Amino acid sequence: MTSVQRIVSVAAGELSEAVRSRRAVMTVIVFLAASALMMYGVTALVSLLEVEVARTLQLEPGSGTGSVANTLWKSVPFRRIVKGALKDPLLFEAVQHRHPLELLYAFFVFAYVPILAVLTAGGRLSEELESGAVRFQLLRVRRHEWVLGRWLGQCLLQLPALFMGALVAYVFLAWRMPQGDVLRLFPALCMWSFRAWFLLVSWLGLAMGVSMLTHSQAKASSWGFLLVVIFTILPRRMYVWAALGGVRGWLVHFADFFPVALTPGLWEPSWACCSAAALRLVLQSLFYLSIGYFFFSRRDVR
Amino acid sequence: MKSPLVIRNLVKVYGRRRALDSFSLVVPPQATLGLVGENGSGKTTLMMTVSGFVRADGGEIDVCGRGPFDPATHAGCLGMIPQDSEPMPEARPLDLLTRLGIQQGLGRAEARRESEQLLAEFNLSDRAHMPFRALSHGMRKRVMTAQAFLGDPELVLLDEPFNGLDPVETERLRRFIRARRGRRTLVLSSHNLVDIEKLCTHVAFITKGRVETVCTMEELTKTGKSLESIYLEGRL
Repeated sequence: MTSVQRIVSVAAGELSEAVRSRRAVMTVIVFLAASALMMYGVTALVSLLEVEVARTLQLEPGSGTGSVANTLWKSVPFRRIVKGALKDPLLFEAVQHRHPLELLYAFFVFAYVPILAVLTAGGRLSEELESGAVRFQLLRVRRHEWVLGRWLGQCLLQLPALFMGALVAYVFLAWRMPQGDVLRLFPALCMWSFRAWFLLVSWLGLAMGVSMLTHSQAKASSWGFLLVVIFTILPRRMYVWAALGGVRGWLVHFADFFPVALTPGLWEPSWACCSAAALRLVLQSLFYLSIGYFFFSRRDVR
Repeated sequence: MKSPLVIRNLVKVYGRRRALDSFSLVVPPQATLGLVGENGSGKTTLMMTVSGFVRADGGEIDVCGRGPFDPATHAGCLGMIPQDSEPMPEARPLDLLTRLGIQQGLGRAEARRESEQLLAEFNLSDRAHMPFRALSHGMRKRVMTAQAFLGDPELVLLDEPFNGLDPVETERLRRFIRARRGRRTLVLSSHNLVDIEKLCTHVAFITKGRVETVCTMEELTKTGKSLESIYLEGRL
């Protein structure tokens, strides 16, 4: 059996165990519920507010819920406000032709994937180290094959979960706003789920890298959540500090080691730019994983 | 015939404590070697070091004549029951054993057939598709024992294999081990000296991370004393 075959075998085991695992199933259900709740809340809010917004901005009255939001998005004053709020002209260029509800889903799924990664994979390796289950595997596969197999399994496991999230969001959207332009959004929601998957892969690398450092599942999950918070705030602060100039300018390059810094690339309409960002996120994930593995490979599995 | 396990001057240090202190042992081919020693004498550390779970701080290990244990080069050569280890609660015995068999180089059909056979030998056929969380401690232990014999490995390390088994299952395991005696090399650690006496062809006394004595069971019987009385001499 080759090394690749052993990695695939571990990944297959990860998939079959995760499908049966109550925790993994519960995590996916929570994600689907959050997706449904978000779409329900947004559509409810839009339907409540848009009559008032249409009246205030003197826009054309819409034929149903959401049409005013769409008209509002296309209006020049509103776009000026959004462009100012985003503080990133390139990002604004990338998203300006998109439907606002599609973008809301994208914002939601991009914001949720770090939590999803830590919830599902945060304690994945440490729980096997804790129970000793890892030993049955490590008699048959090398340590790096076990780690890569588990990582691959988790990555593959999350993809259908994200697509299910898109489906649930679409069902709520279709129920609450059954209009032509909204009904055409399903492929777009799936596309954003797919793009968010690459971001999730990066966070998975971080969560699983941390998971190798301890025998305690609870500790691994706690550290994972803490790192998600730090890794979300720190790069943004780095950009601010770098903008102050001087020797702090180098911080811009350092910020690229964080998933948040590569996220704008996933918003790009061009597949070439988006693919480059996706590739960098996957490499980043493997980088985090290799840091965890560096320590794991030197320690005892007691 | 080459020895399936050769250990020379093995050292493992935990903090200030030397769990293995220049430990040397050559296990004769097809022997059933019993490891006898007090709690903390280094039996489990030895097995964990041989199987690569614990990194040695010094010394040499040669498993099956292929150097220190590496899962890729020793595929299917070493089986083990690690102490205090349990598979994930959602795993199913038959699926788990089949997957482990595949990972150690068996074909899918062969791994499945052998897993079914081993589960039957350990009286677990009716539990083959149940999740581990639904099995009793003794049943889990039997599955763990079954996985050690997948692919009929040349060398099997059994760390406290009788712990948690009821008398019937203990006897079943004794018979299972006896059936392999003289055909495969087994290294067995147990605090039940009667089991060691009944099953083993050789015995190694371990004290403070070192081999005190290694002898055959025949040599031991010639003394006219039981293993237990020899072991307890000077210890009480």
